[in-house]
Amino acid sequence: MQPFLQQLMDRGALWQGRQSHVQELAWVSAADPLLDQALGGGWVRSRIHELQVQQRFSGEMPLLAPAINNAVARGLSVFWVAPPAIPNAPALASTGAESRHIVLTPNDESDALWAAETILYSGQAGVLLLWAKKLSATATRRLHLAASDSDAYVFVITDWQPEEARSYGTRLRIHHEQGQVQWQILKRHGGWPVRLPRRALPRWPHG
Amino acid sequence: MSYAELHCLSHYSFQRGASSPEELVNTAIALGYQGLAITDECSVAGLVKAWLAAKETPLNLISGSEFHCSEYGLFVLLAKNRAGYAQLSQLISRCRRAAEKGSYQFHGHWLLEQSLSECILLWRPEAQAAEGVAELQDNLKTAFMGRHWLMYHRYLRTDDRAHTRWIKACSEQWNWPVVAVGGALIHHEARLPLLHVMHAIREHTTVAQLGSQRLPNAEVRLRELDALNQVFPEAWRQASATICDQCRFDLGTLRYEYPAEVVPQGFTANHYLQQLSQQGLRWRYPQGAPEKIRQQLEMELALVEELDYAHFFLTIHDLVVFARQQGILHQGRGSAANSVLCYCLGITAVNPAQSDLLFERFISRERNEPPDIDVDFEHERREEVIQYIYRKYGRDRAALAATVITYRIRSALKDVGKALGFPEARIQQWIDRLDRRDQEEGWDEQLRCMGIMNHPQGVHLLRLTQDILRFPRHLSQHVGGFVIAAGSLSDLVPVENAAMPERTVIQWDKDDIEALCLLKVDVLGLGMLTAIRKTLALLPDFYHMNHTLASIPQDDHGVYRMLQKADSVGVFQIESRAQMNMLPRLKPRCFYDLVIQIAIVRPGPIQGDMVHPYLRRREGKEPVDYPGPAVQQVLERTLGVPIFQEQVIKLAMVAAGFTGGEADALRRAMASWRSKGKVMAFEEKLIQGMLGRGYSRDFAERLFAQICGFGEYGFPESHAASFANLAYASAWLKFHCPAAFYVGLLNSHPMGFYSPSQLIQDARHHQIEVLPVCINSSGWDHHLVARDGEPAIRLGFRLVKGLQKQEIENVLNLRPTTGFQNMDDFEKRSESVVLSVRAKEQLASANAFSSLAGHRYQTRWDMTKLDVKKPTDQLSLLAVTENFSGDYTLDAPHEIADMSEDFASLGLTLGRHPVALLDEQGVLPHHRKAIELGQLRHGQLVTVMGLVTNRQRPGTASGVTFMTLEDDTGTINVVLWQDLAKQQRREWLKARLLRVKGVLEMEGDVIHVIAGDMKDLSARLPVAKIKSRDFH
Amino acid sequence: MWMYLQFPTLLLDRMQVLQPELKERPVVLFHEQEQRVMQTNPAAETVGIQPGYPLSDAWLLADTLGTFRWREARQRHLLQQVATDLYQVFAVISLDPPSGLWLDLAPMQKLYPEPQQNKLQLQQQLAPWELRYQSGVGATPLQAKMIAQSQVSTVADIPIGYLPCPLPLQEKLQRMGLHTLGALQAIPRALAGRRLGKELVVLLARIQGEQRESLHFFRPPVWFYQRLELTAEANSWQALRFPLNRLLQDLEHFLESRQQETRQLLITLYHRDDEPTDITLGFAHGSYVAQELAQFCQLKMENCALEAPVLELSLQARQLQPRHGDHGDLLQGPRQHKKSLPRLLNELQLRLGQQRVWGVQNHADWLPEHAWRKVLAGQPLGQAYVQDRPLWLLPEPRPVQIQHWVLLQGPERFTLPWWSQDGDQICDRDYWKARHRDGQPGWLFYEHQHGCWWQHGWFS
Repeated sequence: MQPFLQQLMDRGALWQGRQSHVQELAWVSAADPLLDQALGGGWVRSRIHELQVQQRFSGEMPLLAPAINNAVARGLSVFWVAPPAIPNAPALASTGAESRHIVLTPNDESDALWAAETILYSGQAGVLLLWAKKLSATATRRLHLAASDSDAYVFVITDWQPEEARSYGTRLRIHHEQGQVQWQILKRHGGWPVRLPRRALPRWPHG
Repeated sequence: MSYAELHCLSHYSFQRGASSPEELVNTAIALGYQGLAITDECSVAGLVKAWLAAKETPLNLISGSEFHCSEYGLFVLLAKNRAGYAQLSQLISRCRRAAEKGSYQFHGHWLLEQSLSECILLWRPEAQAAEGVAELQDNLKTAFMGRHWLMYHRYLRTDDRAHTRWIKACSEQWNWPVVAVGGALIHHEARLPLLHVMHAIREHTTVAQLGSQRLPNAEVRLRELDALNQVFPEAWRQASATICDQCRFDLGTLRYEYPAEVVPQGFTANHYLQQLSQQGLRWRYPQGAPEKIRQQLEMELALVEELDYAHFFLTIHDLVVFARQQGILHQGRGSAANSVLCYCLGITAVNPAQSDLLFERFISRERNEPPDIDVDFEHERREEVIQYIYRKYGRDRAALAATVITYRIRSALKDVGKALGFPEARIQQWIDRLDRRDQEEGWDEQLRCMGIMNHPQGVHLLRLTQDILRFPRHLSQHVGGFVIAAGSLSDLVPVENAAMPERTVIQWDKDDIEALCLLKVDVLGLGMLTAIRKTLALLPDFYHMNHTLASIPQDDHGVYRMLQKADSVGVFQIESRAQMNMLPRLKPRCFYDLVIQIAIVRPGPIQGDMVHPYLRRREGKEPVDYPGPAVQQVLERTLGVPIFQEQVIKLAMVAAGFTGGEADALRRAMASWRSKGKVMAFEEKLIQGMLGRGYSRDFAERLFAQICGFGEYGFPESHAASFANLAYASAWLKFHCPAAFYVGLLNSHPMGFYSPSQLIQDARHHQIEVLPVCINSSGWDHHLVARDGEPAIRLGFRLVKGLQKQEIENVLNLRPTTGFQNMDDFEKRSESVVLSVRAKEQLASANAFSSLAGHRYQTRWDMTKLDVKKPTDQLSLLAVTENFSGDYTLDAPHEIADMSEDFASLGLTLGRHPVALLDEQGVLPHHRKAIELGQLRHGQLVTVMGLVTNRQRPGTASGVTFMTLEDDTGTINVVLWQDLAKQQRREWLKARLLRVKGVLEMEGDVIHVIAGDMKDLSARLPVAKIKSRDFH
Repeated sequence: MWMYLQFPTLLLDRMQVLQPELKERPVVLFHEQEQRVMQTNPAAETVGIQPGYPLSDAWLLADTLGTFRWREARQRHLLQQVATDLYQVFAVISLDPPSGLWLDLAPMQKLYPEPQQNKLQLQQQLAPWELRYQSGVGATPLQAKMIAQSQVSTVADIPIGYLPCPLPLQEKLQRMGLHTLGALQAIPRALAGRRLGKELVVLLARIQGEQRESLHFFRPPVWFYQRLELTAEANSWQALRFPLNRLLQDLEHFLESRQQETRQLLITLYHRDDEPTDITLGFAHGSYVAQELAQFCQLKMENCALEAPVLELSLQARQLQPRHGDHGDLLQGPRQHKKSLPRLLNELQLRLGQQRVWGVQNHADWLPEHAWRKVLAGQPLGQAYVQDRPLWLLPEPRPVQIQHWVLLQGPERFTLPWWSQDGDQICDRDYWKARHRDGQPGWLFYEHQHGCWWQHGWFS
């Protein structure tokens, strides 16, 4: 394949016909009716969903709770790659006693990406959570390939990002002031960007 | 802001509470509580101790108890007054008697099945509403109208909010008022670690592994008032004060009523007592009582009437009369021996004319405590007396006092160590290495140098073991302390089941009973009384005389000469080695000398350095002087040296101006176990008193020093006098009818200081013939048989190891008067009765068949038959023809093998002494015999040899340990200095036959060998079974 | 002709070889339940301690006593190692655990005619072990054993105590004056049978050799070892891959035939002049598929430098264990990259580092730090023992300005574990739910001792 074409491919600017073979779209709720409706039903499986937060711990995790429960129901593991703190076992009990939560703390970006890819290709992941400052286009591209080859719900939690094309399924920016939160959907499957009304900070479900 | 703690557990809720009643009371006072309720779980065991601590304080001590019901939750009952307390006590008794020892049964409905009109009910309902709870609460409300509250606990835990909501909901829904309570288990947060440890002990796990079961914080302590302020709503906290005001009951008001049966119709107690004492006077002094005695009796009767103790004497008298009718030998002991009244009623046997009595020691106005009498009975017939008490007063009115089994150092270390996760083997090693003798003190020092501190938990193990020492573990029954009540005992104190069947025990121990002035009777057993009765029974047939314990002639010089030669093996109280060393130096000549002999060989006098001055004065080596006439009058009988506790009291009265009561308080301070602090309080008063009366300061200080050293161990003269009675009686019997005396002792074994083998040795040294066990002439017990005019001892089958009494008696019933002719005759006759093969083999090994057949090996071979029951053992399969008709002959055992068989089957041998046997074969190196030592010179180097018959285990403390060697001529006393015992520990610890080279030390008739070098010759001894009596 | 070797202090002797300082002071091995001395070293014997003594007496005789637990399994293992060593000299060996073994001298007759040579050979073979042992020679195995134990010269003098028969029977014989085997054998066999039972007669027959002794014979244990000479000097990892895969194929075949798997591989590279370099690989989960093992080896070798050219290569797998559990997810469709969870976790750990991949599990304790535990990745979460806890826990509590927070609910008071601190101070923490001024709900605690506020977690 010529190098020039390879570059185009890497930048995600090229759309290949035969690549999107027919696959019925499995999705799971995002724990909020308005958001579900905006996302066309919720989080889609085998896609990458980006959540941008100004500071950590502003109500992003409760949105992923249904996805995690779904993974556990399917007997698959939940992988936390480079989390900002320790996922606390007693609170995770709401996902069930047999659930398997595996935490990875790689010491640099490349290791984190390698790990995410290997996990997705292994088919063992029910949910993959990846925290990163920012991800390059090629990185998101390779992740997208790995995700589409897996049965996992994949979420990337980063800081606020400048407007650049990335091969994410959904891109969601969370505004948070004084205990109120507002979701701004920058990119979604089959729909224009939209900003949802403000509402109270969601809580992680009790055990 | 007033608050009363209404729900609090002491460490008498075993392994649930971690503070003593005293600690809880003192803390409640310090925190400014208005009141404190001690509510142990279905028990009032800790109440009296709390009452003693709270007596002179403003704190309102409330009596209560806690009951768990799995279905309906936690109930607490508080007694409003004396009637309420009785009702509470009834309920506790019912719960305890419905379950076996150590547990109780309870159900919510029981609160409705009994009148609890004078009690307050606090209830914490279970979180999940059980059906029927609505109906129960309604009935409780009507039953406890106005005296019912819900209990609200708050421990700052995760479930606080949910619990608060639940209690509020119940309160509104059922219309019950709410009171805030602490549910305290400890008095201070520093005690939390111990509480965790006790929880771990209860769950048989470690503190760390308790995990989320473990109490998360120290809110179960008695909390400061402002902390309570933040935690509890105002109204609920105030309710505790109002409830506290409704409860006014002082335990001290439990006045005691004596049982009425002991007073016959038409008599008042005192009148009847008067009559009995006059009869007693005529019985004890047939030729008229001396005037001093008569006056003393009058004075005693007046005091008894004034303090209303008549019933007490009549109850004891009733017991003694019963014992006399049944022919059970008995004797009062303790301070009662100071009383003429007791002597006349036949309770004690100490003739007041003979010894100098101090009645204040027994009863005194100031003390206002009922007298404490212990009565010893024959230990084999004590049970008959106990059953008599139950029959006479009924199980509902008589019960045994409790004893509280507490943590000792070994159990504490083991339990706490396991709870902290120490490996068991490691703890066991530390315990084994604790020196046995001074285990109670200095144990932490010993553990420290065993390297306990370099273990991360070491410091906690030491601190927590120290805390838990003397904590109660469970209630057990006092050996013989009876409490007898006029009405139903359970009105006074809850009664629960004892470990032994159909025995009941109360929840209070001896000290509680004394603190509340209740009547207690001690029924104790004494082995020597049994031995004396069995000996007296043999007198008519073999010595043509007939005596009872009281009729034994006094002041028999032959008896005292025997004792002066230290020939006291078997004599009561003066047979130990230390006593034997003292007898030849003290040379007792009269009864009072015996009283001194018994009292003087005790740690107290030795510590107070009174032994040597007394002996020097007795042997005339030191002038007898008294600092003043008053002192002379007290100390004259002991040559100016204070030996008895009574003398110290009299000195305090006479020389320092103490009153009788103050003097007795001094004695109690001396005897108190806790600390010397109390005695120090009297120091100033005593010394000033004596200076005021012209005694030199030096004498006052020396006397006080003696009192301190003397305190714990000072022996009361009354005790010594009672013991001296038995000592003289047993000595008289040993002197006049030795054979009967040894049989009496052997048939009451195990008792005393010596093993059967040593008693037999002593008998043979007194030229008494001892006949071996024989199938034709022995009975189960040893008995006397006349052998050409002299009584000889026929050993009984009870000596044969592993033989059951029932088995052999069946055979004896079949034994013809002429005895079995031969083995076949025995086999045929004993066919019909079940005599196990094992029993027959034991008899054969004990050579019991020697009169019928050949030597023991041959009889043993002939008797061994296969158990016909086990077919597999049959020899069916081997095709060996049956051509051996005649049996196989074994060669006879040589003399040493015979001796080892004797020891193996009987524990003693009548053949020649092992040392003599080995000597004969020239196997032993040159040595002196015990008999020869008398002729040698003091300080001479000598070699001795013998079987080790008893030894004292070496303590880590410096000083001396003893050992006795026994050869064929007698016994040799060996003294070991500490360093020698340490170097040659192996020889010392494990040797059975020992050669000792050392220096001879002679002081009058007392002979010792100071060990220089020891050598273990046990290898030359074929006998494995010779046991030594080791005293740790 | 049989020889019996008795090693009374096998385990203790071995310990003294590995730690020579034990020789200087008295040391004993004790039985944990019975608290009795089992084995003593020479220093302990001089002070008078003998096997069978209660431990408390041993302490009394030697204050500086060293005590170790008697471990029967370890002694049995040692016995196997000694037998393996002797196997090179004596063909027929039968073990008598825990402390003895038989050597059949008959087949050795040709090699070493006189018994003296057998003894010499034995001494040389055992010398490096520095073990104390007693030997005995007898016509039958039982005779050899009893002579070795009792150290008597002739069979007739063997005391009854050494006969392998129940204690009550021994005592019965001794109480009849029959103290030695000779005395017992003198009694006509039929009579003895009638009086003392068949069992004794059978025993006497075994001792005389009339009945064949059923001994099972020793065979050394089994593990995989193969060495390969390279056709050409290899000085890069690539060159080594092909021969290594060949060895791995052999290993897979070896494991396949025994239905076993290995958890450890030892690769040794032999150079011309330097010391051979050893590379060990350990796996969290056993595996046996050559291709899988090859990938692990490649992952490992990538970050090991190759100092010198390699001439020869050897592969050794010792820790074999029976195959267990599910292996590979054969059912999940044709995806070619699919791998089992254990294998994935192995890979992640090998690449990222052992400490950087872990699982989260609930643990029974109040304190937040102890209410959960790091476990081997792949373990289930387990049920929670505490409720109402934040989703996120900070690795270390962080001091905070209380002014920035609004307290909502609490306190829950927890006492720190007193048993892991040395002071006897009780330290408390009061936990509160609170909201940061920016709105995020957090979990704070107030520490009484230092009087300051910390944050421990986030609820959002």
